[in-house]
Amino acid sequence: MNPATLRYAAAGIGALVLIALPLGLPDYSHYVLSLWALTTIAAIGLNLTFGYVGQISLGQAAFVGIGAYVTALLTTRGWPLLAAYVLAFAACFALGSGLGYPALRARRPLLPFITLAFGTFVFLVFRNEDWLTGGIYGINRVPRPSLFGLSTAAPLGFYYFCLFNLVVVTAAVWWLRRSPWGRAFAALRANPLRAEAVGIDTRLYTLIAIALGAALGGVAGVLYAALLQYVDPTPFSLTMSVSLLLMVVMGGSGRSLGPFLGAAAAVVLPEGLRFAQNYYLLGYALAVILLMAFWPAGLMGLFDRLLTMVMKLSAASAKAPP
Amino acid sequence: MTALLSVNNLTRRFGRRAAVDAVSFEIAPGEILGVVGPGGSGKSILFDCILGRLAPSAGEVRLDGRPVTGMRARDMSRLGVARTFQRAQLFPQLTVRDNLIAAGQERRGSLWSRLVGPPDAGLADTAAEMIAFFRLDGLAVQTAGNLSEGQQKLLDIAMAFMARPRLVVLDEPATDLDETVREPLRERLRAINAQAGTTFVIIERNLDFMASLVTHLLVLAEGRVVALGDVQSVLASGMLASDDG
Ligand SMILES: Nc1ncnc2c1ncn2[C@@H]1O[C@H](COP(=O)(O)OP(=O)(O)OP(=O)(O)O)[C@@H](O)[C@H]1O
Ligand SMILES: [Mg+2]
Repeated sequence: MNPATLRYAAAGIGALVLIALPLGLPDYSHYVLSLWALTTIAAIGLNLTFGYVGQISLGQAAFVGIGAYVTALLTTRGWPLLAAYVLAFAACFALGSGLGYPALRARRPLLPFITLAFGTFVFLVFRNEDWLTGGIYGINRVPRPSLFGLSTAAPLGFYYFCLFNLVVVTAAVWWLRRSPWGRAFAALRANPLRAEAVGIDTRLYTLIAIALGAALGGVAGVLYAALLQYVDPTPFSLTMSVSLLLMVVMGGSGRSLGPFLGAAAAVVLPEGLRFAQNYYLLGYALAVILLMAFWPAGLMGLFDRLLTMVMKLSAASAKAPP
Repeated sequence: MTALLSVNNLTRRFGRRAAVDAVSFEIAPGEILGVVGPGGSGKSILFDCILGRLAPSAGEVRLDGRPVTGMRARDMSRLGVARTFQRAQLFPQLTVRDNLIAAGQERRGSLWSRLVGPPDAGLADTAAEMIAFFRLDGLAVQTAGNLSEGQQKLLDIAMAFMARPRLVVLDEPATDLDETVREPLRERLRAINAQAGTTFVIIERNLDFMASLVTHLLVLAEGRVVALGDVQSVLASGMLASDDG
């Protein structure tokens, strides 16, 4: 089997596992898996910004928050969820480009500071503009959508809805990555001087990656509001932005599967290790530090190493005389 | 006939020293201009100023008679000007084929078509041609960073031709190359010049490589033009004897 076929097969098996996984598990685990799926979408967005074009954003939580509030505001007024998707995506895309544009005109890396300020500003708007956002009480009774007459009100149904979103986003990013745009992202990251010399508009492509990354944060926010069925300002703070960045790094920045693993380590693992209680956070912090020190390529890098080791071993044993 | 490229009193200073000092020359379509001069005489800086990598301190560059002084590298590329680098500049993590396609894709279709269109931007065949033409056979899916120095240099040169440029500026194409590839490379450049009418400006310290390829010569010393004209007259003037860098 050639590598491409192998990869499609692995993706298919992965999808089947994700479909079968929640069956027989309690409702609460469906909630956790839904949270994982939408967190993965936010991390995939950040992986575009950080992993593909190397720009640090400390404001991903703000885009998730904007997606969530847009959804809460629209759907509680009777608008369909589709409208929330469109508005969240468009608003976050526009805001992402609006932040990226001045940042990329500066000589020094400005984006971390601009996104940090933006994140704080958005958080304060959520908390203080009661007339719009409900202030610290937030917005309640966000409805869950029905698809083709199927309600997603039950936790399992909603998980499948999140999974469907994740599949669509993954397919779109897969397409993006192998398109000339993806090649331009990789090229400007690898050698901006050469990229400009062959006519690649490095600033425009970087801006596109930042804007798309922000827009995927918005999409994750749509799902977040519908999952919890209420929104309040608390989760959309710097903590979420930083932990999303850590997920990307931990999974392996720039790697397609990185966000899946990073989000699993941050969202699912703590639930499985509940008995460890607060020690989990300590262990997680320690794991991040160790991983960064010894495998800066993240979990995917680790996986690559294991794979080459296994291949070498199997090649050696195949060569050995019987 | 208007010159394809004309350079007028181009100067680039670093502090008080002028690395390029009031250089002027013209090149007509289809000509091959060789730029020679000892190490440090300002050849690469001259190229960088013409191609938008460095802003000139004074002077003017015109393409087809239109001023392009200080224009960004990528806009020069859109106007059909391509370049190679003295030290190969590749996308080391990408494959040889992707390096080539990346070098041509921005001149194909619109931004939108580059997202929704075919992943190879319709350049797979051109890339394959270049791979064969520049003797990189069998290396299409190799990672560029893993090539030998000479292969990297050839790939760097091949990349310049992906967008079917009108003017190609080559910075020491033969210098890092094996003896065995120099001659074929010269033949290939000559063939492209003859078939497509592509204009070249070539820096090269290897005079043997240069002498039988170029139509005109420009001799630089300490940033100044000391001789300029067609090959025979410059060679006859004897200005080259002391400049064999
Ligand atoms: N960034 C810089 N700051 C100051 N001086 C510079 C800078 N870059 C180049 N120079 C000087 O400009 C002069 C011309 O350099 P350039 O690279 O153009 O030489 P060259 O003719 O290409 O030489 P070579 O044959 O060795 O490639 C050199 O004396 C060099 O030291
Ligand atoms: Mg030089």
